[in-house]
Amino acid sequence: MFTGKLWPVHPHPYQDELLSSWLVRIAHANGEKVQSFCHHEFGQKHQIWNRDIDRLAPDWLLTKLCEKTATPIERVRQTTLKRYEGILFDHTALSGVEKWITPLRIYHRTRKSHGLQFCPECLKEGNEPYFRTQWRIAFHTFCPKHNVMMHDRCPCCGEPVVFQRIELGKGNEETACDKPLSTCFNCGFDLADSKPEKAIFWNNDTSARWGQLLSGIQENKLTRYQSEQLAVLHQFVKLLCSKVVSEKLFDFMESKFRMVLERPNFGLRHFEANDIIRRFGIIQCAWWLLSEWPNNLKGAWLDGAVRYNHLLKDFDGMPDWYLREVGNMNINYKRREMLKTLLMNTNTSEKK
Amino acid sequence: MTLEHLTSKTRELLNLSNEERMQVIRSSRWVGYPRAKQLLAKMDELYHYPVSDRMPNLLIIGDTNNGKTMLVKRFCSMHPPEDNPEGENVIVPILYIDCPPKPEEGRLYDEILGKLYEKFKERDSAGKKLSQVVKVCQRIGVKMLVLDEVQHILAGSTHQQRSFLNVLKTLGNKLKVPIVALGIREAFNAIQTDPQLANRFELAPLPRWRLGDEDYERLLASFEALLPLKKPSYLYEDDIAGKLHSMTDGYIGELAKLLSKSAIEAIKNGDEQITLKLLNSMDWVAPSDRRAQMDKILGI
Repeated sequence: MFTGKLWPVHPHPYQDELLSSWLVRIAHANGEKVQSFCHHEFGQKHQIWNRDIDRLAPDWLLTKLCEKTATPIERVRQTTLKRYEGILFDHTALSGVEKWITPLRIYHRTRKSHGLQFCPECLKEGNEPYFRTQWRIAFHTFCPKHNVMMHDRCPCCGEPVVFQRIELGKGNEETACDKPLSTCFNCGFDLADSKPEKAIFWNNDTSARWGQLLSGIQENKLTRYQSEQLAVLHQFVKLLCSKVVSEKLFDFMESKFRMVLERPNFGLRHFEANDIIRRFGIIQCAWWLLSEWPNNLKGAWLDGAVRYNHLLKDFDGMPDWYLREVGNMNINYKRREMLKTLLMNTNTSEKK
Repeated sequence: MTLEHLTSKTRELLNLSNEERMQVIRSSRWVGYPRAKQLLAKMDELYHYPVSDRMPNLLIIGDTNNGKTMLVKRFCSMHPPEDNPEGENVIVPILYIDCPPKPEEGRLYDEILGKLYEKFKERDSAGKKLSQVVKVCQRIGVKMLVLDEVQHILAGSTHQQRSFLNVLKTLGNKLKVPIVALGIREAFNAIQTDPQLANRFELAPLPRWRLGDEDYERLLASFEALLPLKKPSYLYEDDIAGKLHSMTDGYIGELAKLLSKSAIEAIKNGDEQITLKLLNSMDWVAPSDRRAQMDKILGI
């Protein structure tokens, strides 16, 4: 039957495809530039590209996509970051930075932040390159499938990924809509050709647990303990990015590991806004604090690198096992020093 | 009462009320005849023609109101489009468009895009539109392009005509689909101006009906079989066939219209058959007399 209600070319979203990626593919498959397509399909009054549609997709957009591509609405909703509600964050916030979701820092139709990450190896897979919802997760700094580092910018010109601008400024160029989504909008480099770099972890245990957590997030199959781990990790990355706490913590860890660590960018208020290399380092530090629970954290606390009140600050719904240990740290400076010397003595005697 | 003059399907229609029967008669129907079947077979051959760099085309020439459009629409209905909600695109095997009123490249693409989209960017350059047309047509599996009213080409200057014919050639080459063009006699002249294109268009005339032709009688019998009237009218008999021919000048479109009108009249007056008397009483002017009649009315 032919109703004429569908778009002549109506591709369905690929596995885990991001809404914006899908929408651009639809426009290009219909031989139209993204802006023109959206203007006449959604109307001039409905702006799409000056907001983060992947995070806060308006209903009129989702219903239209559902009707015009014959895709079930539940499937359409899966292309937005709202699918991580209850997994990464509790409620969708209408403004500000969402927990674990990279901000784009939209300025009109440009992006000031390198919020969209990509794995060059994943981009090479399938019929055509497309962008995944999981690539907006700040925790997803390496690709567990290919075990390579994610990228968050064009390796050639350093610009963020803004695939809806690929055809911009190309005038009436007839092939403007034929370029793959992996093209850099600024210099035309094919992002799929970015050099894959192996992700190097401080220890293998971290990489395994991290990978499990990532696939748990993706399949919405986190165990209760994993969810709690994720919450504690977020508290730690928050502290590591806080100007007040960060300095001492990093000093402590640098002396501990005898290496120089990349400090977060304090110009940005949120962990999620940091670039990928920094985030990768910060998350590793957070994993370290969580490892050998509670010894590593206790070491940092005894050293004075982190304080009791910081560990509890703004931490809603903290797990019991965390509260139990942190609760023990509510003692004054002198007693902490005593504990420290006591512990050092036992350690040295043990070694003897 | 014998109902042998009707097809079995039409016989069932007799159970309907008068009003419903009149409604059936008013709706358009397809009446098959040998020449039409030949052309349908010809189009079918083109439709299944293997993709090559040089696709053959067909130019169907016939007078106005002689069933060209009906014929092609019939063919289109044999290859209907499909929404294909499971797939990635709709499926439109035959794209039927009217030639734009003026032979302009952009307007031709507008016609094509207008068939597919509610809205599109009309201000794009012709080159951009061409690439969109080619891209989309290939995706939605267009296997044949039908261009009605090709005589519109003549509405432009020689230069415009020439460039428009080039556009047709390019479009056919790029899409790699056969083009079926329909038009009145003048369309033939238009296509002939480009020898290369003329070469590629096979000519298929759709002549008017001639009195005494066996096919004409068969056509009348087919018409009768499809009109739900209770009594046989014997339309193919010489006197009534001659009357119908003189009233319609052998145009199938006119014939269909006249027969519909008189069949409705036959139901209204209860005769249930089309007779010479009824035809004489019809308020009908033969196409060739219409001009003369208008002159008379206007007193020229």
